[in-house]
This record gives sequence, structure tokens and C-alpha cells, in this order.
Amino acid sequence: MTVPLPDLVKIVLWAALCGTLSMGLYRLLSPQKRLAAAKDDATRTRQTLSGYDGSADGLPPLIRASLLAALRHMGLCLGPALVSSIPVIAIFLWMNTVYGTPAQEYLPFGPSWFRAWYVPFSVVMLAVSMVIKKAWRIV
Amino acid sequence: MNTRTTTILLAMASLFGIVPSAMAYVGPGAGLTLVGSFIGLCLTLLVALWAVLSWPIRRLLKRRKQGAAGNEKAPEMDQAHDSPPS
Repeated sequence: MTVPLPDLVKIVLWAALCGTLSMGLYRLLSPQKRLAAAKDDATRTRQTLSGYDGSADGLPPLIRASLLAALRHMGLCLGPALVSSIPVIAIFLWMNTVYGTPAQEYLPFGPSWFRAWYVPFSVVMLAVSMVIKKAWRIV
Repeated sequence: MNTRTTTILLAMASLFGIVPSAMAYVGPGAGLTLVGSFIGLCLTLLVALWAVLSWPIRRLLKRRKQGAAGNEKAPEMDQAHDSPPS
């Protein structure tokens, strides 16, 4: 016997799946050790630059090192972040065809735009992603 | 950056000129990481700007501090010179 689930529950389940899939893919594709090192390096060089109290000649190399470290960090996570979004986009588009008709409202409160499917979906997906990011210590 | 990389980057950037709008999306958690790194870059730019702009002021304050410390030491030394040997 199958029990039909309410649409809101289905949206929440899809959102949880989407968040898990996206974070799993990101973790798989991103060089986590290098990312952690790059993040530490970016923070350290920025702190060094912030507390610099020496001669003017010492500033440009510090600024250069700091910017390079920040760009390296961003460059390392850009590709995996974009690729891990692909399943989210696919599910999002499919959900929009199933749940995205203007007449359908999924929340009993708030303005009309707030009652659309993408509000609970986005909130749950973001929450699940953040929990997974923290639990798996994803950088 | 070599000429080839520059040409490729310029060719890619020129694509933005022929599309009327670009639809893009970055996933939630990974997007947060990306946003975090972007904020880091912005912070670095601000810190660099602050370091450059505030350097003359900090230098001036440092010199003043050093000058004040020197002046405090000088009277002590004078006093030591003036006092008769016991």
C-alpha cells in the first residue's frame, strides 16, 4: 500500500536530496587539502598585511602575496562549485515544471511570492547543505 | 600571463558582449564556499587599500611615539648628569 505524500513534504525531501547531492559532488570534485591550505594561506597573508608596520618598500610584495593567495583560494573552489550546481539546476528546472504553476501555494502564510514551491525548497536545501558542510568539514 | 592565455581569456570575455543576458546559478553549500572566498578577496583588497592609505599616518604616529619616548628618556638622563655623586 502506498501513501501519497503531501506536496510540501515531497518538496522538502527533494530539497534535502538536492543539498546532499550538491555538497557530495563538491566534496568529491574539490581538492579539499589544497583548499584548506589555500584558505589558511589567504587568511595568514591578509593578517600579516593588516598588521604590517615596516617600511614602504615591504608593502607591495605583501599586497601581491595576499591578493595571489585570495585569488588562488577562489580559483580552487570556483570549478567544483559550478560543476556541483549542475544537478541542482536540473532538479530545480524539473521541479518548476511540476510545482511551479502560479495557482499552487505550499505555505499557509506570507505574501503570494513567499508561498511558492521554491521558498521551502531553497530554505531546506540551504539548511541541509550547511549542516553537511559542517558535519563533513567541507572547505 | 602569456599571450596565449591572454588571447583565450579575452575571447571568452568577448562572448559576454554577444549574449543579451546570462543565466547562471551556483549551488547552495558550494556557493557559500565560493561566496566566502569572494568575500576573502574583497577583504584582502580592502586591507591592501587600507594598508597603502594609512601607511603615512601610521608612520607619523610611530615617529611621534618614538619622539615622545626619546623626550621622556632625555630629562631622566639630564637629571642623572646634574645630581651630585653620592
